[in-house]
Amino acid sequence: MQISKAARRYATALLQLAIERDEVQVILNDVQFIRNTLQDSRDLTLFLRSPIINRDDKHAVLEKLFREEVQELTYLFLKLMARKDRENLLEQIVEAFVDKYNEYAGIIKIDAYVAQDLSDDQATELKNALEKETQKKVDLKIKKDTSLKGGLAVRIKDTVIDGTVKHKINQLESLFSESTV
Amino acid sequence: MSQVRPDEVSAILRKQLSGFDNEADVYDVGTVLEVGDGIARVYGLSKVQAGELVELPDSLDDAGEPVRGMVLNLEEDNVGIVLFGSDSAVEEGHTVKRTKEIASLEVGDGVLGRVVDPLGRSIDGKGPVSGETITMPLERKAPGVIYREPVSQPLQTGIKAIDTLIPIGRGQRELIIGDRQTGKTSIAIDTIINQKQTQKSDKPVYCIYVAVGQKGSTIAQVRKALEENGALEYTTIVAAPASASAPMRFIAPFAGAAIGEYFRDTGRDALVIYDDLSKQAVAYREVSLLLKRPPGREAYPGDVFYLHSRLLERAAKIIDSDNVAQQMNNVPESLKPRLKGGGSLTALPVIETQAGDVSAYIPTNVISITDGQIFLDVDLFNSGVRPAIDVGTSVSRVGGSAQVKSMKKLAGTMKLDLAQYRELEAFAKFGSDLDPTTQRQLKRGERTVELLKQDIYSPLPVEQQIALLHANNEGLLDRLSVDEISDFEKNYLETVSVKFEDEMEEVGKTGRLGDDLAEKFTEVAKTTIDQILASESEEA
Repeated sequence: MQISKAARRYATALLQLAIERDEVQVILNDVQFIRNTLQDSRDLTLFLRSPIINRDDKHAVLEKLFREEVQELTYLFLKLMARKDRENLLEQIVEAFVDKYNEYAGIIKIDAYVAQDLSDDQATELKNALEKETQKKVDLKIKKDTSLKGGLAVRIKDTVIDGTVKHKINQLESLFSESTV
Repeated sequence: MSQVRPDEVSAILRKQLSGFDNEADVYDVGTVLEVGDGIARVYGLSKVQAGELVELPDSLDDAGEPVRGMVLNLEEDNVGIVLFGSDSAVEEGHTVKRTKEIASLEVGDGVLGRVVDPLGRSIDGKGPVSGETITMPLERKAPGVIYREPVSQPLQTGIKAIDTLIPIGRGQRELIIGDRQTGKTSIAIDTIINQKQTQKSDKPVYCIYVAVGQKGSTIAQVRKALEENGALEYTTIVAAPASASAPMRFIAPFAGAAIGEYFRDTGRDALVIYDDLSKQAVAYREVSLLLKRPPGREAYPGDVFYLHSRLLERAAKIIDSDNVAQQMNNVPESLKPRLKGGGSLTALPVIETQAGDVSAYIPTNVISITDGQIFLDVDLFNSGVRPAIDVGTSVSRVGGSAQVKSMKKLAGTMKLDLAQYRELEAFAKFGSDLDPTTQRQLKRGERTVELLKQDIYSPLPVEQQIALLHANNEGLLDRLSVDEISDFEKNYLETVSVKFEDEMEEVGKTGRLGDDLAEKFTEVAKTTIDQILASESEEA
């Protein structure tokens, strides 16, 4: 998802305040709770995004949904967003917050693509290897894609380390096409 | 249809399989956010360089090849790339892969005689460019001051009006400017054809013709004209026709310059023709506006001057010293062992004006960058003066020092004749009421203008031009009527070429016309004129 500048600024502000108040973990829980709610309910996401719906209605819905569930700081934050008419950014703000938190806590998100499911041992081994390589805590997501045919690819930020059979075959193909007459 | 060479298959397979399982490939990727109008915005690619080539392995064009693009904009949270192929194959979410190479093309002696696109891929159906090639970057900094030399050797165009009055030297940048249909391309083609005679010498001039935004049929015509005149074998055509995408049209002149630099930096002479830069500027404007760069005058982006100045600055005469030339700046690694001094790259950019308006943005820019201009005039063209060169407004700022000795001397007299003629031209209608001096000047001027007319695809070698100029300067042609000049030219040149074959060759080589030979030329001219006058009275 592309995260707008405004969303990033709101997220930074929330994180800094949470660090100041020493409430990072609880706020993170709140944010993840909101994130999960948004992910589970497409209706809510669309409702917040819609420019037609009155902002008082959006405010009321957010209040009902989260008033009882979240900390004081998170609630105040939601109220501020409502006052600034930024409910449509909520989805991006929670994403940005998680990114910022990961950066703060030295966690790195890594996607691994495999052709066959890894055993638990293999997964831990991969995770340990990646943590050693990146010197950070790794939040590993393993995705299965049978079209890879075999091997493993790892994506760390924008860099892909590709050892899949599919990639090898593609390389071979381009080698052949280069030597055509 | 292309085929895999069977003998290579097993070699490649063996090589690949032997190192199959132990190495993983590392590359950087991004994701397409939005695409449209040949532009894609990409998220990710955080380490990408400006000007780098990228590949979209998920987006396959009609030929099944992955679409390629070039990074032009690096922004805070996204990267703007221009796509070289069709954007219809590209979808949101497609992967974009770095290639880690700046946009470049493969150049070698094999490109001569070929038609290639701005990325160096052949498009003439003769397969890939053969022979050893070197990767030349499209964008390269021009050689620094210490690697350059003033222009000193002539580049003969074979066009009388240009070689005498607006001479071009090797390493010069001379603009060809004029309205549509005034013969701009013809001058360029004639110049290429005339380089045929240099091919046998020790300093051949290789030619590159860059067609930007032209009709496919026009490019085919140019190719045919070159082929029929035996000029294709030392010429490369870089084609970005009107159907090519805007980025292709915008990089085409840079591709031409890169090919030219290959010859220039290996100590050879090259001539590159950018036909035309107004269309390139339009393509660049299109790309810039789509990338949301702010528009300036005539909606061109602010750096359109730099676009042309950095391109034309790459035309240069390299210092004739291998030691100094080998230190040259921004040379691709693979070219370094072959670096040689004494090469040159001459550029003939073409600009098309609208209704003779040379004060528009692009024309003034390019006029100020180049070392002179050849101005072509519609009225002259329509009144039958072809090539329609307006000798009054055309100049060559540095070419004079490259002109051969005798030519320089003869051209001086001729310039004077023409200037006086232009001053008096308005009085021509008073005819016999004028004093004899004025009448004589008018007569001389008319004949000189007539003498400078020339058919297309018939360039004249320098020695023949010298012979003609000599006859005119002696005032011998005044006896003939204006419409007899072309007959005289034909007969006279035929006679001197046959009679003084060796001497003519010598004149062509040294550029000096001795007094003895000059007298002999005068004799021949007189006889030829007598013959023409005699046959005329016979007919009467």
